[in-house]
Amino acid sequence: MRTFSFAALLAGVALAAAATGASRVLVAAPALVVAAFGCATLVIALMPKRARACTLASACAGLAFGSALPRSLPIERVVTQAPGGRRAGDLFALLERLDQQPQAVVGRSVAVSGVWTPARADQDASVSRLVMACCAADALDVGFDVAPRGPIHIEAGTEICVSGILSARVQSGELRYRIEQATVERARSASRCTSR
Amino acid sequence: MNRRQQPSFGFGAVALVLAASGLASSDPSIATPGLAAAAEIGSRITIDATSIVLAAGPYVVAGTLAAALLARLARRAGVIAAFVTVVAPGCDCSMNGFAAALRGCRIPVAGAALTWGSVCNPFALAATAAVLGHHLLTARIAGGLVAAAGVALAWSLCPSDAPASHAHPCAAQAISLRDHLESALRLLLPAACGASLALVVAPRGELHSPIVAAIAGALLSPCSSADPILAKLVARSPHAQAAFIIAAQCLDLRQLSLLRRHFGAARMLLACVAGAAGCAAAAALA
Repeated sequence: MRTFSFAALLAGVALAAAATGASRVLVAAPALVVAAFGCATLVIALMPKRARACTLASACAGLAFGSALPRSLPIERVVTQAPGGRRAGDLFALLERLDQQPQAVVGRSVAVSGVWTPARADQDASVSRLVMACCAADALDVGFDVAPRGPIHIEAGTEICVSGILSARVQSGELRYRIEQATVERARSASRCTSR
Repeated sequence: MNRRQQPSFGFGAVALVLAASGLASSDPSIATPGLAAAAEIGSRITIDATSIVLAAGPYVVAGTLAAALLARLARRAGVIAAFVTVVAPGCDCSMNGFAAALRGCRIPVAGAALTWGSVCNPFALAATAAVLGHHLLTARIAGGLVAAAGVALAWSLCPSDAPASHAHPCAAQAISLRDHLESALRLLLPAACGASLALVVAPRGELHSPIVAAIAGALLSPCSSADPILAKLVARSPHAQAAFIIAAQCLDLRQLSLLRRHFGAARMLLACVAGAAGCAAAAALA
């Protein structure tokens, strides 16, 4: 009997995603773990002698699908709240300080590094970092809205340094933090920016 | 032989894979506005669902292998499986592969072990303490206890009308490791698609009410190690955060589809009621 193997299909997807680098934006687990999962699942799927050709065809379909997966995902909505836990980077450090003592930071000069997203019709520009606990479905971009001093000609996804005055405002019932009168420049290294 | 036949849907599956490949790699800018929006939504759902299944996959394989190993090594595998389910430091995704090992123990014990293991496994407790603090950790434990005890009590009062997978232990042994893994992985797919759809169509914004937070947690269906971070980012009050994390494990699509498959629709509904009680207890304590 011809049987389609979902396990083999998934094994193909995992192997292709690990090979192309798509797994880095899809899951928090390292590519090595994804590849190991793909290999183990393919071995188990191929265990019975029956319908091995169909199992291999399913794995090939998975490889084709996995090869079409994207290597980067667009930033849609930035959350301006601290995600909790210990995370390295000046952006998370500032969000933690805001979480603990907002009055000590709001209205002051700040500088953070992160990934740049230009302004859109319904959304401010932003500087953010991705927080992924498990997979792309539960990943959120965390950071700050940015109101630059002048026009910025930096493409989305570039590592930047932003410095300016931090302000708080309520937008659609949600408390959001924005860096006003901001100076935005490409980061020389992806580590830390210094406040002016 | 008591082997369950695999459904043969090769052509349909290949067509689905090709369509999904097209969606995953589609460029919305080259289509008309209506088509572009539909392609963008389809692409997002495909990518999110794929990421959920890929992230859960290693845990499902680990759970399936552990269940197979336990079934070979231990005569009283069911009792040991219930203990392992409660204390194993695995994600709730592994329950999809491991649930079959619970066939040997009493149904109320199996239900309580699955509920507690999903809500209060060591990974989830450590993540909750690190992200949300010890007060929410206490609320999580209390909510998990209420939900697990509620499931055990409700299922023990329920007449014994177990579905085939639980009523015939011999049938379980006839299913090969490959078929076991197939069914566990296939179980993930509809829940992953449902959660991805909810992620795309649900209105974004902060959650203030525990009831709305619980509904969001149930629809988004995050892993137990990820739900504290999501709760902190999308829910403002501790009550809403507590309701979110308990519902994300007790009332979510993946857990409910797992319970329905192994224990039947009636027991799944009873588990929903117990899960809601767990949410209320956690929200009240937070």
